[in-house]
Amino acid sequence: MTKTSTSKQNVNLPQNMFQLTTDNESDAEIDLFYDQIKNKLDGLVKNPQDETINRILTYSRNK
Amino acid sequence: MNLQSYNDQDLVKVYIAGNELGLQELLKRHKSKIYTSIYLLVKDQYLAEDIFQDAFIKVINTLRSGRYNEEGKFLPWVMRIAHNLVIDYFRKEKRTPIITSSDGMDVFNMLQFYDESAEDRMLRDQTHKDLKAMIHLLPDEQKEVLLMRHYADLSFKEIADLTDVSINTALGRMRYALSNLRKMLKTKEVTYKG
Repeated sequence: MTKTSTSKQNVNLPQNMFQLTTDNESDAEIDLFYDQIKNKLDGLVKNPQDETINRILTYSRNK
Repeated sequence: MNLQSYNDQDLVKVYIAGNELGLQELLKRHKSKIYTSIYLLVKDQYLAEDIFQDAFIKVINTLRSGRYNEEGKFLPWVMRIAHNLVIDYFRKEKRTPIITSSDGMDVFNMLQFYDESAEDRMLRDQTHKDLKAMIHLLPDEQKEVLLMRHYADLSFKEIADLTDVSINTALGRMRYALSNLRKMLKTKEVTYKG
């Protein structure tokens, strides 16, 4: 069972956050920023549980 | 048989020929890319596990039936299946929710890290929490491209094919995603050190 909400109160968004222009940002700035946060993004990597993998392999063996 | 040196297409052939180790190696090779992409889209560990499993059941059924013809593009193919399952899920739910697990706990933050101080751990946890929250605030099309590019390691051509847009659009969405993340980080005044 899951419960849901739509709250975004924890993050303060600047106005026009998702406008489809990047204004004064150069490609180099964006590239540099991406390089800076790559490790942090990598920190979010997760793996499925072994149990899930085993269920898949069992299904395959019995197929 | 050392399967680590095999490419994906060869592993598929090994599996179709009846050797389960082919599938085992494909799972080992790609599980984190696929699972992380699913998890960051649906934000729920148990739902992500279910979708991951359903995606591979479809993979197995297709491979076993001889209907696979992706010519060496195994990962983009599985990502497309997973992506469609995620879309199906949200379509059924008729909403784009922020989901928490039933016990309200974030399993990600429960992982154990032994080689850091409590202060470092708190900082890292907060950093991850902020980053996850910001990724979830991105428009769906930008979030998808970011996840497919960074976590699933797909090329922009593969992302464009998968999301049915041009390569330029996919590239643009990635750029906007990064630009928006940058703005949010500035707003939050979060300092990231390398």
